[in-house]
Amino acid sequence: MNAKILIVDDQPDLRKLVRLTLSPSNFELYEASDGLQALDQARAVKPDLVLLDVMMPGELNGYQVCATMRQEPELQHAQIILLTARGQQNDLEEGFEVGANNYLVKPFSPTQLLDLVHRCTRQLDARGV
Amino acid sequence: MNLHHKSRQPNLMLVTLVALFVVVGLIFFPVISNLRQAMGFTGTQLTGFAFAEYQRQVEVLKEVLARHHPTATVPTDLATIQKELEVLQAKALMVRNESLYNQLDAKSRWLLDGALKRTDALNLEHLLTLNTLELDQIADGARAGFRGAINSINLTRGKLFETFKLLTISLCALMLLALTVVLAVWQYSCALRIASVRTLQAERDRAALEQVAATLRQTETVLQRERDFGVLVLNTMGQGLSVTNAAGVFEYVNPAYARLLDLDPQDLVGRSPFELVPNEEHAAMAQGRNERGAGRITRREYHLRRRDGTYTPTLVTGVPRFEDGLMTGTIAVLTDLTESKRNETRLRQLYEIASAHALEPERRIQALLRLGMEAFGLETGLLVEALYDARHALEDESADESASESNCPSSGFESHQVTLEVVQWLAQDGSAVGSLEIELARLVLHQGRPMLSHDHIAVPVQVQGRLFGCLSFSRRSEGCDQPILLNRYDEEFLKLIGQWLGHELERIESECQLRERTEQLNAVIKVSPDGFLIMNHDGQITDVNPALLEMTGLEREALVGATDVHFDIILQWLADPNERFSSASEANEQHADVLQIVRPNPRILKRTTRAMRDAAGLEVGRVMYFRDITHESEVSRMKSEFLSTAAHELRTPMASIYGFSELLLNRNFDETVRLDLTETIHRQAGRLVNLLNELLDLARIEARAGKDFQIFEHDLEPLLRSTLEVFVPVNQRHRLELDLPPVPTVPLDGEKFQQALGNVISNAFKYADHGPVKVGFVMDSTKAGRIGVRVQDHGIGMLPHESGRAFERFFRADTSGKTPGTGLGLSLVKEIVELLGGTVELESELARGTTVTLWFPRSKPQPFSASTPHMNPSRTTTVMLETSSH
Repeated sequence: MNAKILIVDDQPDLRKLVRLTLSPSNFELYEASDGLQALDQARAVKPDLVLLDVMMPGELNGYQVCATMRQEPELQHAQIILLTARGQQNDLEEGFEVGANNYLVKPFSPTQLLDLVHRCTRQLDARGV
Repeated sequence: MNLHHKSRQPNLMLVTLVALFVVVGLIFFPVISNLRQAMGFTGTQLTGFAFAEYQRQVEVLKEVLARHHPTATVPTDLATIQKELEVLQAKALMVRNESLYNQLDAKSRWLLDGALKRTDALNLEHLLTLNTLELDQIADGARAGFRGAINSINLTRGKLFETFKLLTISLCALMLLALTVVLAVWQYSCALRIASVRTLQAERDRAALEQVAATLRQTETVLQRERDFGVLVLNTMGQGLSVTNAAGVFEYVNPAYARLLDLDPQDLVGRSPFELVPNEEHAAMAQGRNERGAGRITRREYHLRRRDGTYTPTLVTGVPRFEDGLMTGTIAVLTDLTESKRNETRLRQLYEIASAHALEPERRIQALLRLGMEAFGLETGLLVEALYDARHALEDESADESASESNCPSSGFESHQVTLEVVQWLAQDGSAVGSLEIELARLVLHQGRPMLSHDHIAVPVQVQGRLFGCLSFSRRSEGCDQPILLNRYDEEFLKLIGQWLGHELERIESECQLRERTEQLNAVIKVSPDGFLIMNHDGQITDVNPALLEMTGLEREALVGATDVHFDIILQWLADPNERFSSASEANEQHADVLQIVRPNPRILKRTTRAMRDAAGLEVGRVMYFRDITHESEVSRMKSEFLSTAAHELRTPMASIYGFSELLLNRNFDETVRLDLTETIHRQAGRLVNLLNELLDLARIEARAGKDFQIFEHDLEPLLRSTLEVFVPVNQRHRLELDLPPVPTVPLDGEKFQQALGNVISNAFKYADHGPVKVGFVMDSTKAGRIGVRVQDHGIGMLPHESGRAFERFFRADTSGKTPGTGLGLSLVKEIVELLGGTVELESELARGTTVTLWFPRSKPQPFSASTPHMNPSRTTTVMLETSSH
């Protein structure tokens, strides 16, 4: 069963990067470019994993999206990895506070990202989602 | 009687002595004669030694003779016999010579004589032929003689013994007699002595009695004198004294008592004190009587009626009289209270005036003057103030000298140095102040002490320890013979008025000073840009300053009178609901907290609370001080924001560069993809380069402060156009609307100009995604020679308070994150333009657009030197970019 991954980032280049990184593997990839879009997609698709940028224009930033998703029962199961340039201690804390599962600081190595994604999705397999 | 005894005693003594002698003689006569007799004995006589010897010698002779007997073994020779015979005859002679021989008794003597004769008659031949019988007869005779001697001796001894016995007895008897006599005499003399002692005692008693009598007489005299004195005192004492009896009527009334009531003492004797007091005081008087009956001393004020029917106030002290435990009346002493009552009234009046706070000070001073005039019965009252420059010098002088009066310096001013100003003048007849009164005041000030003259009384007035002026009261009526009479109370009262005046003036001065001070403080607080809020100890707001009203956006009425609880609610309403802060009621002394409010403007306020305490240390209220630290917080926030943003801005392109390059290295893509990725890397790298340049530019410009600017006269149009080429994206060029009238050249650093203008243009397109962007030149008619380059967009615009801060470093009006930016752009523009000697203006309206104008002067600008740092008055901080740390 292929895991469903939602990629959220306002920068198209970054979305491209992640997409290219993940495409060889068998994932179902979805994309969103801002917070609202991200939630819409999430509700529609019910992804297993969300790669979420924090600094996004518009009304919702990554943290808010994460928090909202955690509150919705249908979306609670998803694993959320925050991708962001903000790597300060308080940023990490806030991330985990809103319920993110993991965190990757930009610039990140695509290889690392792939590893992390595989690990997360393997867990999903183990759980038998 | 004494003498009698004395003469008898020696007579007695004499008689006794004579008797004694007689008795002694009678007894002693035989004694003595016996003694004499006894004395006659010699030693040998007493022992009869000669007789014994004689007898022994006879025996010896006999023995010798016996030995001569022819039958004897050893015959003795004749010489020895002869010798012995001679010895015998010698001894016989001795016997004869013995006195004892005469004392022998007859028989013995006869026998002895016989022996002696025979002895004499002896011779040797006789002896040889003699038979022992002869010798025996001699021996007998000798023996008899000896015995007789012994008897005689014994007899004499016996006699002696008898004599001694008698002597002893008579001595004893004598002693006894003597003793008896002595005893008798002694007893008699004792009796005599006792009698004489008694006499002596009686004498002494008599003397004592005489003394007592003398003392009594003395005491009587003294008592008499005292009685006289007492009477004198009673008669002359100023206080009234009365004695009432058990029935409660006057027994005695002293002249002063009677005088007080304008009566004669006789008028009062026999009357009751109850008749003298008004009805309403009867009850008190009766109670007093009861108390005295219990043994207490009473002290009451009564009004006593005088002859003319008026009542005079008195203080009556009553002491009860007791005899055998029963009250027999009262002794009462009266003190006339008229004077002191009057003084009391005056003092009360003075106090009323002094404490009448409703009265203005001027009116109060007038009232004091009027009171003085009334009290002393004088027609004018005057208060003058001494205006005097060297007042202080003299004050120091006079402070050294010891003052005899309580408050006044002993010396006042030199009169010619003082200008007197009339503070208040009152005259009964309404006349004006005369020079006489003024001169009097001057004199008093010169002397520095109260003065009483024929028509005037005056005291100096002191305010805060210095001589302020003079208070005087005077009589106007001429030709008054009597000088003004002041009693003790009046003098005190005058001084008191002077003191009160002094206090009053002090108070006025203090009030003035206080008012001034308060005004100053109020002005300061009013003008202060920080908010002040004052609460009383109930927590009610009593005052707020304009700055606080501006901060909260509330009206004065909304805050003043509100309680601290109410104020908390207000603050909560103003505040960001997410923020918590301590309430006003919790805020204790020295507590500082930070409030974030969003209404009326988002601000961060630092609040410090301090309790106001009174002298005892009790809290009388609280002061809250609000300081707008928005800017400071902003700056610090912005700094960290900036770093955060800068980090993000730098990292984002890096993410692409790093990511894609890794992908390219690790995977095989086809050509198109590879090209695309490489292009992305290149693009993002370019973006990164721009960002880095921007940061470095700002840092450099800030550090260098325009020293490396190269200023030349530039033609603006081509400069503008080239800038547009660089900074306007091709697809946006259609939006440009240019308005470029001919303008003279401007001294600029071309490169920097482009940088600044470029920033402005970039902003215009960044923040306005549609609509025209107008770019043009403007000429300033007012400020001669200024040339402006204007860029106008129709984009998102800014709020008024944001546009004011647009040029702040790191300030971003749009914090949504939609548009990238570091907030440094406009600061850079401002920096550059100002270093070129110009100014930058920004106008903006939310959702309507923003217009930025760069003004440049036509004359060559003075480059700012590094030593005059470019300070924007309203933004006080300059944040240095930390390019090394991150």
